[in-house]
Amino acid sequence: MWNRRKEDETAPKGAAFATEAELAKDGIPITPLPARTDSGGTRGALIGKAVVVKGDIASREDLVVDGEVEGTIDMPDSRLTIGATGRVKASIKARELIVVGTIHGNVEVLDKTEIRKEAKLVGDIRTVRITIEDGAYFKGSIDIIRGDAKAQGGKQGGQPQPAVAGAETKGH
Amino acid sequence: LISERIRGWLSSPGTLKTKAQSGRVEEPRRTEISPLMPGGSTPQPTPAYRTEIVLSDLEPAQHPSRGLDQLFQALPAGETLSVLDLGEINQSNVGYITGLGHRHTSEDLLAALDEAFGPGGGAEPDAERAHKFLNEALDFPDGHFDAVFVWDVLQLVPPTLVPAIMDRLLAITRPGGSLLAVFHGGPRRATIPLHSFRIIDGRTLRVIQKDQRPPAQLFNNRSLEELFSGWRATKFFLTRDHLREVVCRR
Repeated sequence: MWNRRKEDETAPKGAAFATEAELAKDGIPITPLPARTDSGGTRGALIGKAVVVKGDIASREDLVVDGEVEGTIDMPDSRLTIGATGRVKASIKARELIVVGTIHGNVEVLDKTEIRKEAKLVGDIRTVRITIEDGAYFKGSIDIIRGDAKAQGGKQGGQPQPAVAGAETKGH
Repeated sequence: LISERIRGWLSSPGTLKTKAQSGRVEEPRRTEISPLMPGGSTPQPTPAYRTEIVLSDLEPAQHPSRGLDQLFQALPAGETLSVLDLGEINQSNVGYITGLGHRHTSEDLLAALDEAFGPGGGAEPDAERAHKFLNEALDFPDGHFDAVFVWDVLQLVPPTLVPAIMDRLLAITRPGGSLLAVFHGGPRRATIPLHSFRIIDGRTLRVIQKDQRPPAQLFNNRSLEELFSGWRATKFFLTRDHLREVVCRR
């Protein structure tokens, strides 16, 4: 009895649950949780259409904003997608940015920025690469972060400096 | 004669292919030829007689732009400059200007006009609305830009607003900086074509007609001279598409 109880206590808790592979071997069907995706099929966290966030967001996974955000968004290692219904009034730092909705604020992107044709962006952009579709509305300045400046910025704690003079901010 | 020789090269096997032959739109190509060169032979450039011809007939929307050429030649080399683009934003202009290492600033002046005064200009703006419009659309520090692309927007600005916009453009352009504007140069009509101007390279534009609108004001040579009278130097160029390019130096 004592020995048996001791074995129960020391056994790892997770061991009581079979893995998906073990269940599948026994012929038990497994339905995985649906992946969180936006309309474009992007995986990651999602701020839904009816959600309003006021404050600072820091994320280490990709994020899709279909609702409203006001504050700051800091996710230098992840991709941020502003969906068609997304409205963001924030300064943004991201590895990759896709804009279909609306952004009011300055943007710093460490890799690629995509501004789709329905997008509206008012603010200054600092980015390594940028693509802009016809029909997009953009008001502000675009500074391209050069490779050497990016490397130098990496040494300085991930704060890439633009190859050009500091970006000016237009009143908005 | 030169044109015939170029067509001869295009049609001969092993030389350049036209858009129709290749089945796709190609970038404009430049060929340097000597006027003394025999037709159909391999071009042997002679520096003393070298003439540059842009084969813009390969893509009707593309044409050489003397105004663009003059503006870019006037810009100081090797410096990071600030460029203001008052047209609808597009990938070509952003890519070309930032590719030169410059900062591209975009303000869609026509969209701002439509938003402030209604599509098509609407009624003449009163002083208060005009002041608000200028503060919102052209709120930049004085002497901030080395180059300003106005494109063809000035024709759609309500006449009472034009002097204030010109004063503002002069103020935000750095001394020595340049401005490029384009005006419809054809016969007077009820509507004029509006274009999207895309910079292909330092001397070639792709011009895409996107709309027709009644002009708020049409400019002749004399009114253009008055319009840019505050600028240090002004040059006019007439393109084959009945567009007049005006390059000004502050």
